[in-house]
Amino acid sequence: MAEEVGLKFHHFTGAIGEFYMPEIMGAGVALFDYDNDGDLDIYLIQGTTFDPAQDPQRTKFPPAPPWKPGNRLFRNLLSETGKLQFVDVTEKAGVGHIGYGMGVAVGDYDNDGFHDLYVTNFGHNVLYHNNGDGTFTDVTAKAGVDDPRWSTSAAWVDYDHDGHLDLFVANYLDFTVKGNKHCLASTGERDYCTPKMYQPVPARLFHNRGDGTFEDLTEAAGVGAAIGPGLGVVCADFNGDGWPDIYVANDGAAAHLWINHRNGTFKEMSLLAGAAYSADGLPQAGMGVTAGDFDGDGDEDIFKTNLTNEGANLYVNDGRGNFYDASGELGLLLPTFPYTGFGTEWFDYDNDGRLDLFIANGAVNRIESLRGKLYPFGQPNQLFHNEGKGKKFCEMTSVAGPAFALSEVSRGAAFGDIDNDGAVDIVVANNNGPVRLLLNQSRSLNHNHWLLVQLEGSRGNRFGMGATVEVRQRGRKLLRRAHTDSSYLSANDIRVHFGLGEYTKIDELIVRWPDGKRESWDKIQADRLVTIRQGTGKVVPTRD
Amino acid sequence: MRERLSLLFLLFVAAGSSNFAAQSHSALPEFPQLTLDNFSPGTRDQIEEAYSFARSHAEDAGASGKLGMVLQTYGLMQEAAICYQRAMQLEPDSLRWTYYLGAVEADQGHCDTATATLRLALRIEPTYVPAKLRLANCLLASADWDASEKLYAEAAEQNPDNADAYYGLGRVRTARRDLPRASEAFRKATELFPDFGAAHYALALTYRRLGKAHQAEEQLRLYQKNKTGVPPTGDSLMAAVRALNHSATYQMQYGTELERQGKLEESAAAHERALEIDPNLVQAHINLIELYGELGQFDKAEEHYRAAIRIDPGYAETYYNYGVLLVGAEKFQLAEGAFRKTIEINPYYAPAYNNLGYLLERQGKFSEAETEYRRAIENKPNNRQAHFNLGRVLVNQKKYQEGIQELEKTIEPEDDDTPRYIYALGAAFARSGDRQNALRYLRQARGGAAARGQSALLSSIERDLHTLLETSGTPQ
Repeated sequence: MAEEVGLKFHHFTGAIGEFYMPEIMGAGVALFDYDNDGDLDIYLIQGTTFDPAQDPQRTKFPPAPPWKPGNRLFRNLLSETGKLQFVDVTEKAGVGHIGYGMGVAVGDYDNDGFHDLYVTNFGHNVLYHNNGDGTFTDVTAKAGVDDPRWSTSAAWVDYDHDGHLDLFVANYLDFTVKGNKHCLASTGERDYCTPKMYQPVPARLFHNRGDGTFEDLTEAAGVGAAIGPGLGVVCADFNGDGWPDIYVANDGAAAHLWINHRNGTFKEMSLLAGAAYSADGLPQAGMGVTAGDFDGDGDEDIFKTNLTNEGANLYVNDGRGNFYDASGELGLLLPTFPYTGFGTEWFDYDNDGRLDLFIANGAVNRIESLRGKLYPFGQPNQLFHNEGKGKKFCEMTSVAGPAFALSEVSRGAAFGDIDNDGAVDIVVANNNGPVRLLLNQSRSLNHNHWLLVQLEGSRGNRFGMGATVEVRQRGRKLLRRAHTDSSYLSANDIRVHFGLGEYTKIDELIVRWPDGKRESWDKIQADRLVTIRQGTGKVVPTRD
Repeated sequence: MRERLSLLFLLFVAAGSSNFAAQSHSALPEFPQLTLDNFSPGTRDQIEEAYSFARSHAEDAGASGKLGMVLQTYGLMQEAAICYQRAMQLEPDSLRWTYYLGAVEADQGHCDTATATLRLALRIEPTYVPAKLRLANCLLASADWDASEKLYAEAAEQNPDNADAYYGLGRVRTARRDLPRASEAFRKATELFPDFGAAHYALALTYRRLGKAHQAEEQLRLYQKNKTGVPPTGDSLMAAVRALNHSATYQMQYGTELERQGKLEESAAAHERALEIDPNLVQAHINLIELYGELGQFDKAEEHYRAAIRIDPGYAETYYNYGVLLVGAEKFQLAEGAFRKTIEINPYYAPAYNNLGYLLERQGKFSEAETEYRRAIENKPNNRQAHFNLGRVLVNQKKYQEGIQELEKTIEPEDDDTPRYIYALGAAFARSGDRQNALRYLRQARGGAAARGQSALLSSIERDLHTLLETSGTPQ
């Protein structure tokens, strides 16, 4: 229902028949409250022509008027008018960067209480500082966070616990327009190349100095020790030591698990951790990734989407950062096998207290059964319901509404409660297609309760990025993480959502702040948004 | 609209695939509709020939089945499935068509239908192990562990040398959390086929979960030595499908695989065959520049370089491979031009920067060489050779501290090259006047070289150690 609420956006690939790889890989979307008015705004990433002199109207898929080049920011008028409606404020906000857009990361890097934007491109990246008055300033050069390579997903993470968000940027391949290769499908037709045709380029780790500038510590932090064609990124404490680690889905290569050594350096441990390959020891085409405690055992489990005929991975964590791929036994392997998955997220769509899964799908190579179609890459998106511990996930796609009957080339997906009704909604960014807003109607189908938690850090890291929030309720513990990363090229609502099932009573809410300190609160009421401020709770002794 | 109807039809017939043996010929599915306009001419001709033969022999199972095989080899799976269904109906007792259909269904992830079809294939020929293993794989993917384990066990009993069967057994037992028995099965698989990468990986993860860290690391090391090694499948039926692939890209892939196995002449021949099919396959020309270079056939390599740039001058690898060839032929000035051209097309091409640095260094342009090495590292921070070269050039410029820092980055990972890098580090310390560290690393290098039987390196290290010790008077 995107258009109905003023969300008019159609992704433009700039394709002219040369099968440039970036055409088929973008783009992303961000859900964030840029003006702190209490509702989620939407930032959409746009492509452009590869040759600035190329007339967009003379491309293979010319944009339909009224089309404006560059990324777009849509402001949500819900808080102001009580009605879900979006208005394009790009020009006023000054965030309409025109580049070959890929992704976006959201984080308040200067702790001024307003979310900033990092935009990744095939080409130079851009850091937009949120001025707090509805406008942004391009501070890329001053901050020192540019990267001219083909960047994809990025994540803000305070990896050294100094209270300032650092920036991890996944980079993909050394593709250049000048060096574009002529790749063929098995049938001899021109098609997009596989990543194997190019070399991966290194990711970047920018350390936030806390003064508005960053230093590139990629090599010093050890993150240059392994290079892969990175696409999806998620930061979480995978080994339970209280420090954020970084997991990167690499396309056609071993995934990377950068374990934080708590001294400013990382070591790549995915192989021994069992989260690098398929169960067969084969590299897969990792695209999107998400981490969450789907089985309620208190650790972060990884879900990674892959290429058609590979199936997705569900790496179950043993609590110490050792993983086991349970996608087959939990019913996620075969249903994902026919599709190329991109954006994905653990989220509780029916508020039953268990994390479910959404997958945005769309091929990267011609689909034979769509031969003759103008854009033969479309695939339906998927929704899986978590049926509880030890049980297989149940695919709900066919009953999830008409949006799931569409067959589009979906890429980025961002998750958040857009209409503030307690149910998590989804914005899907389609490649060479319109944006889709999937408003969650499950509140009308059940009476499950919910809680939305907004964190406010007092010692830096204002939005508590990376903090974990635990809700204790009738003997069960629900663990969630404040994050904007994961999925693919996209940024999610940083507010932490809990489905509470049929119970309204919350026994205790415990926050583990990024600096390791723990506090608890009681008397929290369900079915509302609560703001939790650091330093206002009861101190809980730390375990480490 | 017609296309949509045909798609519905496709789906309909695929859904009913498992019951074909019981159906009559009257319900033969229609031949699939094919749109071949964009196919390469050779592939199109091959498909058209098989298609027209099948249509003109509509009651001939072999004709329909052969068409299915041709379609399958070019990745037209749904269309292939229809042809196999026809063939199955026409010849219900044939293992071949039933097996092919089951395999195509399984490859598309339709394990529900594939399971039924492959069971049917095994009723026709209970001893065909590849069918048994495919069925077991599908059952495992569907979490039907009992049935899957039974089949793997049967396959292992029937063919005790089948590493795949033991590997499958290990996977089922892993799913059941029966880790000790899983490790037994994986170990057996690696014993039967020592280059079985997946089995080494699975065994490593199993050992890790059993708390056997040392054994896990050993298995990971073996896995990394040959990640893609798989035992021969003995699947003669599927080999017949692959043999029908006459595409240039397939020949080239085969050639690349031969190169990986060190069979350079055979690899070059496969690439030449690819070019006979499609003379414009630029990647084949690019690969042949390297292959003929390694085979010492400079003229042929040069010929393919010319062909590659004539077809498409935009491939960075063309110039890079040519540059490497020219270095081998000691045509250094031309090589420098080739590497610069590589970088012009692809400014992130780390090996080109590294080689350019080397060429500048040998001209005595140390500062320029240093810049290029740094660019190589910027674009590939784990480029060991570039760190080594940068370290060396810095030491040669008496920038000892910086140089040593770079050389320190080369001493991991532990492999056959490590003693050489440690030797260089020791030598750098010696030149900087840090005798203690020089001795430490030279001795470490000596130990590594001795353990690996690297006699030439060993004698060099011993000579330097001797010199160092003579000047310091320290005992060895």
